[in-house]
Amino acid sequence: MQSMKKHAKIMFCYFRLNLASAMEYRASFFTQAFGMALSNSSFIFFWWIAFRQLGGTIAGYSFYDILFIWSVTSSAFGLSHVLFENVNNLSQLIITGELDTFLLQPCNILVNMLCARTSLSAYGDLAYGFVLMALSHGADASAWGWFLTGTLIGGFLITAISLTAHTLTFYLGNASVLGQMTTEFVINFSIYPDKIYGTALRVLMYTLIPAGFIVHVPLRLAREFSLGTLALLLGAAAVYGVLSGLLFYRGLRKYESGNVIITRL
Amino acid sequence: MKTIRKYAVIIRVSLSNAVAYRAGVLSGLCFYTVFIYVFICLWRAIYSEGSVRGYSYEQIVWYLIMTELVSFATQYSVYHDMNNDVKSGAIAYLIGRPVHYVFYQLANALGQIVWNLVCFGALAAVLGFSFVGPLPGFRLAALPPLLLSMALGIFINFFFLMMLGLSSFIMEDNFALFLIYQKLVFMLGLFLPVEFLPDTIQKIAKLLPFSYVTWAPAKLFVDFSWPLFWSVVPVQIIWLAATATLTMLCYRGGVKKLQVNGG
Repeated sequence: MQSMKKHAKIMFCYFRLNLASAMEYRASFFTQAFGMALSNSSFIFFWWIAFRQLGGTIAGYSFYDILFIWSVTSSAFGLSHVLFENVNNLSQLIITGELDTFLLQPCNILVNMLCARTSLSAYGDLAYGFVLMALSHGADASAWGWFLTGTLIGGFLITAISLTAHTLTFYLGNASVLGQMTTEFVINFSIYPDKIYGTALRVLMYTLIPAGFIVHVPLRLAREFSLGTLALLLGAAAVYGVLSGLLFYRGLRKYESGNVIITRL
Repeated sequence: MKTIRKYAVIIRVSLSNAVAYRAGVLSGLCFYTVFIYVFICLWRAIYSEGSVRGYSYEQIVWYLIMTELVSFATQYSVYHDMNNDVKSGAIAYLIGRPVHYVFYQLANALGQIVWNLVCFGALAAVLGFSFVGPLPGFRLAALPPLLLSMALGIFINFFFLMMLGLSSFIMEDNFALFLIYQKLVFMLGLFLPVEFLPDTIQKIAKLLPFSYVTWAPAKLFVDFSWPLFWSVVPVQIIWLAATATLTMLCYRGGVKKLQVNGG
């Protein structure tokens, strides 16, 4: 419990410092956040046109379902990248030997490494999900509840999935492209109805790259609550998170330190 | 003649670089495959619900393959390069060289574009034939006008990106402008044929240059006719002339204001 409190404190300190640093370049911060929100809106335009042509549902999803999965994906992605942006830098840190800096500090390596950077545009993603939910679902308390659940679990899972992919650098050599590909898969699995994919891909999106648990399961819960489905969601997130952490620490044993001298200011 | 030779050398060196660092294109090929696969799945689901006006399933798949091909072929870093050159002050060294900065960037990008077109073009053909088979009604005679329209689309896009890069002469952060441009191209042709848009938006889209980057060549590809050719290609030429002129004006205006401190 003491340790959890300490980690939460470190995460909060990093968040505060990263935000303060971002606010030093206010114009850049706001244009990037606004640009990302605008960028996300263009996809909604795509769906609006598609549903305008067809009406009804596409692969079992109505326009409101699409708005829900977009809200959750956007905010979960934003949350993950606001708090843990450095996960996407892990392959580079391993290859260049810059991970040394984190190993030497009196703090949990994983938490310290993950929280060290933030993404300015991710604030736009995070805010966009909330705005889209407010516009599409108004004051529907149940939908908001599952949106917040999806955002928290989704943010955690997106980080864990990226961590797993980049951790493979310990085992296979530079896995940065694999990391980018995995992120691309997570996004594509999350922003379209899961039924458009074949069986093999659907198995993948509920196991190795569990993007299905980020949005599609919360949507199912929002449509019809079931205790079993909720337990499955929480269990899958916990198991995947633990496994990705174990993979990281096991890989860390293979890490070879570099002789690069780094200063963190 | 000497000037042309100078830029031809830059194109050749840029092409050699692209071929030498061919591994760089591999990740792009993977992303291209993922995008096409996802969209094939999506449009298959959409077509299973009903028909979409004016396009058969095969046509929409080939349409997307073509728009994404233009988009991926122009994946060079001119916007980022020019942004960095202006912000870092490196432009002070580059404008002093015996080549025009704008034409240097153009020649430098051409080598990469040619290489991208070869690689992504081959993959596009493989994906199209594997997923939906040959495009119904396509004739080889349509290839030269199609390539012309593609080239015009690529150049319009290039000059837009260059203008966006040059906007860093006057803006501290122009990333939002880049995103806005990217999404306008995206909404007005890249992911959706202009014909799918509501009538009013369709009319506006056809008046703007953004549709002529990807929609014009892709529409010609899936439904070629000479009347269509004459309705889109002259417009592409006008927009190319306009964007090229604006780029030169932006460059001249920017260089006049340029202040570089230090050395």
